[in-house]
Amino acid sequence: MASKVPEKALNLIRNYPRVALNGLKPIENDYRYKSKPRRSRMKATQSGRGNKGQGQRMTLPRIGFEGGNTPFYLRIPKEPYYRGHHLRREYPPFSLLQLQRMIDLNRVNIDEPIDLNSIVNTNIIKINPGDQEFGINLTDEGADIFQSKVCIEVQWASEATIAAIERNGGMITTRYYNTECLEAICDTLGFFARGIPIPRCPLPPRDAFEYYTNPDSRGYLADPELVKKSRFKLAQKYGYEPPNYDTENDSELFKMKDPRQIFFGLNPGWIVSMKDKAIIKPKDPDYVEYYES
Amino acid sequence: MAATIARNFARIRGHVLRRNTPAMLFKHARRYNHDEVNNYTVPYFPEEAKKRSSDAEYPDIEVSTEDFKFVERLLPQKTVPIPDEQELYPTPSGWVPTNENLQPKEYGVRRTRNHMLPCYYKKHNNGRETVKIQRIYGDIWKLKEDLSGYFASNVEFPVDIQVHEVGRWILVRGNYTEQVAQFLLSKGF
Repeated sequence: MASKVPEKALNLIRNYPRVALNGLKPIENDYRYKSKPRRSRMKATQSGRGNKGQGQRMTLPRIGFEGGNTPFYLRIPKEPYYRGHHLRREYPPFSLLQLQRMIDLNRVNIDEPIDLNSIVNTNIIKINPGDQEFGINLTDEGADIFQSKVCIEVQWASEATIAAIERNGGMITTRYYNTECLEAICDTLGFFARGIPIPRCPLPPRDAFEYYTNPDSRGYLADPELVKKSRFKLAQKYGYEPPNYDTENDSELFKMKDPRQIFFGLNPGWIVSMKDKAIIKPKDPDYVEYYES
Repeated sequence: MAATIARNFARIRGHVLRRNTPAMLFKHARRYNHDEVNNYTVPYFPEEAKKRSSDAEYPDIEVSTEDFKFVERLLPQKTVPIPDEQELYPTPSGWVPTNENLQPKEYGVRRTRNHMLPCYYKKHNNGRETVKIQRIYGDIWKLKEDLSGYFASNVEFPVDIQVHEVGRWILVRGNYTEQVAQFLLSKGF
C-alpha cells in the first residue's frame, strides 16, 4: 500500500511559480474596505420588510402569543429543578485511581500531608473558583486497587472512599474553603504577587455546616472523639483493622491545619514577599486579634 | 383597547426609566484623585488624616526568612518529574514503563509528557466512536499492518483503520481503546 502523497507534494512544489501576480498582496495600512451604506439593494423600496400588513408597520403581536390560545409558557407548569443553580456549590470529581496514578508517577509527595494545593500544583486537574467550584470530590473509582498510606484533605468524600483510605492506615478529612481562599490556593504565585495578607478562612455556610461537623463524613469541625468512634464503626462494617495514628514515625505526616488556616506553617494575616523571599508578620494588637482563630 | 393602552403605557414608562438611569449615574460620577481619598477621610478629621500620611508612625512588624520554606512547597511544579524505578510492574494503578528490548526497528510511538500512552478515545456528536494514536515516527504503514494483524486475532469483527501519513496519526473506528493500549504495550512503547 504505497502512498503518493509525498510525490504529489514534490510535484506541486516543482511546478509552482515562485513570484507571480496572484502572489502579490497590498500594503497593510493602505488597504481598507469601502464603507457600505445601509439601505436596500433597490433604492427607495420596501427594505426587506415585505408588502403591507403587521410586518411592515411594526405591529406584530408579542413573542409567545398564539392568536388567542393560552400560550405555551402559561400552559405548562414550572419545573423548578434548576432553581438557584447559579448559587450551588460544585465539587468536580477526582477519583482514587487518579490519585494512585499520581503517587506512582511521583507527582505528589506522600511523606507530607496532601491537600487541594498539592493536587492542583500538578497541573493535571484544574479548579476554577470563579465558576462556583469549591474544591474536589474524591470518588470511589479504583477503591479496590488503592494501596498507599496518605494523609489527605478533600472537600467532599463518600463512605467508600473514606473506607479505602483508612483501610491502608491513612487519614482523610473533609474541609470547606470559601472562594477567596480557593483563589489563593489554586493560584499561589498570582496570589503572593498581589502582596495582600493571607486570608482567614470563614466557617462553612448554613447548608454545608451539617456535613462539615459530621464525624461520619470526617468533617474538620467534628468532635475528635466521635470521629474515633466512627472510624472504628466503619472498620467493623467493611472488615479491616481500624487505623492507628499514634505511632512515632508518622507524627509529621498526620498533621492537621487550624480551621482558620489555609496553608501549612503560614498563619492568616501574614504577608509573603516573593522578591525578598521573606514573610512579614505585623505585630499590631488589633490586627493580630482580627486574624486570630 | 384598554389592555393595549396599559401595555403601551408600561412600555413607555419602562423605556423612559431605562434611558434615564445610566445617564443620571454618569452625570453624578466624579473622577476621584486616589491619593486624596487615601490620605483624607470624608468628612475630614485632621487626626485621622495624620495617621494615614507618610510621616505617621506605623506599628511594628517582624520579618522572617526562616518560614519561607513553607512557601516554597506551595509553588507549582515547573517540570514533570521522572518516575522512580520500582521492583514490581505494573504499579498499583496499572502503569508500565517503556521496554526497549521489545520495540521494533521500523517504527515507534513516543510517550506523552506525562509518561502516558498517546491513544485518545473520542465519542463524536453523531455517535461515532474513534481511537487515535499520535506521536508516531518511522514506517507508519508497517505499524498499521501490525495493528490490523493484532485485531484479526483478538477481535471478532473487521476493524477499519485510517492512516494519516503527513499528520503522523492513526485513527481506529470503534471503541477499541483497551486493545490498542494492549498492542502498544506488547510492542514495548
